[in-house]
Amino acid sequence: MNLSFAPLLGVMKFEVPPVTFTQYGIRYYPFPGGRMLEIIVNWMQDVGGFAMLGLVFWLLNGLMNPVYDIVNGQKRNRLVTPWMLILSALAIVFYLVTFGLMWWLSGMTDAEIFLSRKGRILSLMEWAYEYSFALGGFFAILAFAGPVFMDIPRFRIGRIYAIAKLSFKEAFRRRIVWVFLSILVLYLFPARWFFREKPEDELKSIIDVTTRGMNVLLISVGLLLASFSIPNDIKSLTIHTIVTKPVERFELVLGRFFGYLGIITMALALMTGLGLLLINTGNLAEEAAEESFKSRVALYGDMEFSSKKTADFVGIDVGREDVYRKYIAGASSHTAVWSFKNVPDVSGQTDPMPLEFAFDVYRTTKGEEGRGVFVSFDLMTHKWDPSREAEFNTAMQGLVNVKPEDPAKWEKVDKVAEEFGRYLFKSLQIYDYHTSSIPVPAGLFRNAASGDPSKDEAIQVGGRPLRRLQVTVRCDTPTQFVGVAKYDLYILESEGNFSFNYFKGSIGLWFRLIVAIAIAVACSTYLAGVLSFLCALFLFIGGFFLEFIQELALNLNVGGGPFESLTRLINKSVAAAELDPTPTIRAVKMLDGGYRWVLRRVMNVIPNVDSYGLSEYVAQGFNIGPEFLLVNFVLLLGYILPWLVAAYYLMKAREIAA
Amino acid sequence: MAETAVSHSPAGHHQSHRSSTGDILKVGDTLVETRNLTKVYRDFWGRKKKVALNALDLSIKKGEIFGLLGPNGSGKTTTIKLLLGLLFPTTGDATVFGRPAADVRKNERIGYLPEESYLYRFLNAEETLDFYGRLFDMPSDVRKKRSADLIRLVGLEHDRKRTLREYSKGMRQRIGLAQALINDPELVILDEPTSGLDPIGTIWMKDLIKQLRDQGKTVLMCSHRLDDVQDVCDRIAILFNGDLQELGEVSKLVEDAARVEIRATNLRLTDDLQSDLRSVVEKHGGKLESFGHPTTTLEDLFRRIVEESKARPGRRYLPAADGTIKS
Repeated sequence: MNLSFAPLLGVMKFEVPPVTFTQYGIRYYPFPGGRMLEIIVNWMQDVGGFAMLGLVFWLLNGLMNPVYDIVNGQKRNRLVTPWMLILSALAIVFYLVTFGLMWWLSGMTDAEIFLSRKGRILSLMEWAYEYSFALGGFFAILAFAGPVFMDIPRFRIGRIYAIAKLSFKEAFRRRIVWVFLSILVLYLFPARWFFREKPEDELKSIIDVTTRGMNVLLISVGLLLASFSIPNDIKSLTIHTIVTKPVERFELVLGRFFGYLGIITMALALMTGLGLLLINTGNLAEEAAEESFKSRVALYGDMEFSSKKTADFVGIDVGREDVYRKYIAGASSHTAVWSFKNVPDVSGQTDPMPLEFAFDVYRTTKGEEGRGVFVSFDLMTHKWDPSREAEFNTAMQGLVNVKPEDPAKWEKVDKVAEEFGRYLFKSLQIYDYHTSSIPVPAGLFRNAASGDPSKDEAIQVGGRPLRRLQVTVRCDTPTQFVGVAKYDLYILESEGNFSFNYFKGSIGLWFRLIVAIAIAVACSTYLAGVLSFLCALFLFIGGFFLEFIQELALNLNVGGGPFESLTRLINKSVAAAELDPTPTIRAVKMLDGGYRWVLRRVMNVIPNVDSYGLSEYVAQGFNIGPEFLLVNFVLLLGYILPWLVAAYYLMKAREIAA
Repeated sequence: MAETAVSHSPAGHHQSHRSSTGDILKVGDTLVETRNLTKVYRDFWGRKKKVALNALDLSIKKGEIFGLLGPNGSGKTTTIKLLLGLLFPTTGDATVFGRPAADVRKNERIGYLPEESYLYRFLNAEETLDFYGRLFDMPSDVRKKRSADLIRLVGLEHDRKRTLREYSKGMRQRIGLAQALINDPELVILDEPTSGLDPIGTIWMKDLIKQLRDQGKTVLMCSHRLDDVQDVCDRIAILFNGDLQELGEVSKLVEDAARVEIRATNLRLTDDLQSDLRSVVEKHGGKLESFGHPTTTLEDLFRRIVEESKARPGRRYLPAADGTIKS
């Protein structure tokens, strides 16, 4: 389950494993709960910092300009409650501890601290730092968000629904939605009407074009509607007749948010339905249907390179700008080895299970016209005994590359595989980025599933832990190279329904829309319509460049920050050259440090919208697992909740009639 | 105009409003109170721009019609906005139904008609009232009945399906009043209620305000149409440049104790009568200032003509046969 989402083909890459609840254990990080706990801890650290900042402003304002309620004859400051003060004090205590530990750990650079969260084993001090930082954030969040939660019992679904319904009517009666929807329909025309492509890429192109169209139009409509709604209410003074009713101001924010989300969700559902209709009723090329009109549930393994001649062989870099794949040379000792911790359950099953793959072919000579490159597969389980090599070869005589279409021989292959824990498929012709498969006998999986790999004697590659099954791939064609990456090969466990997967792909876009509308509505509680729109648009687009911003913020790019780069330009110094630590350079680096600090804070408010591009999986024909959707949804909530709390305070503190 | 009672809430609904927000108040109890209420507008840098309201001390009792009077910029609307929580006081405080002005729960018992009818123009009258009814979390059946009654009350039965963008200013003021009454409020706040209304509409509005008072409701209104205020208000506060200049009962404030008015019927204006009257007045130490027929107000004349025209439709004013104007 947890690894069934990675993409496989073409330009698609996924270097960081998709987030799941279970991956990354105690071995990599001091969070026994796995990756999810790590995310929660990081969230509390980041959001807690903003909450503390907001809290300081709120407390200062509340203490300097108190608003008193008379409760049981006693004056009570409504803006600053005792609970808020207690929780703030706790947050400050933990932050002080954090600063102390930070001073202790000051030898580490920001980049090291950041990277350490991604897998380094931390010392006890670092562990304490992480948790005290998170606890400080936790109490700051509780203190800041507490009043919001205390107000929740006063919220009424009926009122929020009324405002949401009003937003619906407004959008439709002002004909905003219709204009955009009519443009959207254009994107549903078959992609082949507009440009030519390989037949097998037809479905990918259709999904790509429709998704891009829906992304651009729905997000821009969502942003426009959400950015201008509350500012328009304030400008036209209609808000006066709402907030003078028993309406909590945050109910207005929620009503607007859900109203516009509802409109955009309806539009998305409509477009998804039309898109599916188009795909299901259109004359899809046979190759395209074979390639992408499916929903593969794939089981992935870990990949390593191996070579008998080079001990630390990590694959060849053929000089391509894109370093996602590394290469193995043809007719050499180079191999790529995938090892699977788990194998599919095939008990009671005799049918073979496909091992699918699609590799990049890098040619150094033209090769033969119309012919691909030949690769061989050697599959062995943890129970394979190398001393039985001769025995195995004898048993396999006349059975190599036998297909299941020959049942008599296939039965023998199955038995041999189950007995020895090994299976061979030699010299299969493959083409550049073309998905192919070999049948793997069920007997091999039965063999792999039995016993305990950690106790059995087994061959090891590169000293990595023992796994139940490993697949070794060789290139047999001299002078040709085969490029591989982790997600290029997988066991095809089953196939789901394409239409359902298409629908799940739309959920990714829906997540993006939620983010866009939440930011826009939150901004509009304080800013004018145009500014809200630009602000939300800037943050949203920034999400697509998050990786680049991260590089800048963590000083991982070559040539330093903007001040250092400017100095290099003036001094005509190349980016990679070390600069002499003169007072000027030290000052410049300090300025860059400040710039990076700001950028890291900005980085925290930029949504990771890129991770919601789930339609890529659909286009490539891979199943989107429910756990992946759930994890992304949790991350989405983690992102929008601080925005909504900010909106609560901005709206509450605003003088509507000023 | 339909003569419909203003209060239509079913038994229990009214009670639930009160119980959720506070005690039931008796006539004469203080409903609205301001203490040292001050509002200073500041610029972006926090510098003082204008003192809109200066240390206002005021209390409004249940069951009265209270008028805020003053020229433009005197602080009338600022006072109302502070009471409604649309503005926050710079110093001082305001309570409504014993709750701070910023507490939205007090709004359950308030109806507010802004100066301009700030309503959603893409909605029709029924939808408008349904929307505001929902904001009070009113049940569907109560909402429907109340909307229908109020639409009848403000005389918009035939226009209830038209969107508000097609309404005239007067019609929008009427539907604005209907939305202010949707919750059967105990306190009705009206900002320039007769603004945009024709004379008949103005008369109707004033009658309605009095009707609200008769039902035990409290009305706070501000206006610069002095005749309107004089006609309906029990007490007034006169503001100028943010300062309270005068506060008291209208009848006492406008009473001219230095003069005496004598009215009589079945008399003809003769020199003898004038002479006799002068001697009687002078005998008692007074001085006769004027003598003649009293004039009616233009409002009364207009009201009478409209009433007669309703009773007898058709053209009333005709030129003479020779083309001269018939007087």
